[in-house]
Amino acid sequence: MNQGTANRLWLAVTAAVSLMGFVVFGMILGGSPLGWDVYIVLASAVFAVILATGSAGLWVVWRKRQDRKAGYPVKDEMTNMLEGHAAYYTVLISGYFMLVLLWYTWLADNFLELPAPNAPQALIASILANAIIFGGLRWYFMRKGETA
Amino acid sequence: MRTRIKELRARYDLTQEDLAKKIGVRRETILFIEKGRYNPSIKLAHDIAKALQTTIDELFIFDDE
Repeated sequence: MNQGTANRLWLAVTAAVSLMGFVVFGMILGGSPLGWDVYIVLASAVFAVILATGSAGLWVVWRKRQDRKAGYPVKDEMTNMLEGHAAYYTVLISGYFMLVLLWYTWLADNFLELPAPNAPQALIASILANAIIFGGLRWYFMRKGETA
Repeated sequence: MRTRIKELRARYDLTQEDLAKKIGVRRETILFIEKGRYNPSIKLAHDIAKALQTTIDELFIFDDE
């Protein structure tokens, strides 16, 4: 199996497992999907994101083991540089995400009739956003090459 | 910037994997350098030139030349 096929297979399996996790977790919490409220949807979405993140972690470990077995270095100057780009933009975008979350919480608490996240929820959302943004940017830069 | 890596690899019957292993980088790095999507450091350019038995000047062609 070549690398492109393995990547696509992993993406498909991750998407399927995350979707199943979303539905099953939601049904455990709230029964039929028709009766789910916003909190059950959010809790299930967080569960699905955790499953996807775990799957991404397993994939990275497996790929590194395969590379080591094949005699390639896990990192070289190009991967270090592109990961540096990804990390830089992750800091900027995550900071923006946290500011938006702060504004949303303030508006939801004071003016809008919307559920506001408490501190642990906001922290978990920020950590997950950080991981997802870095993973996405790393993937993007690794496909695009040097940005300068 | 263009490179003659592909041409020289063919001359010595080396695949991207072979060259990557020879100089200790990932295959994607060789692919990106060949396609002009990554500018290698002087050290890496030197290593590639050495592996292909040529010089940096011969290996990399700058468009303003």
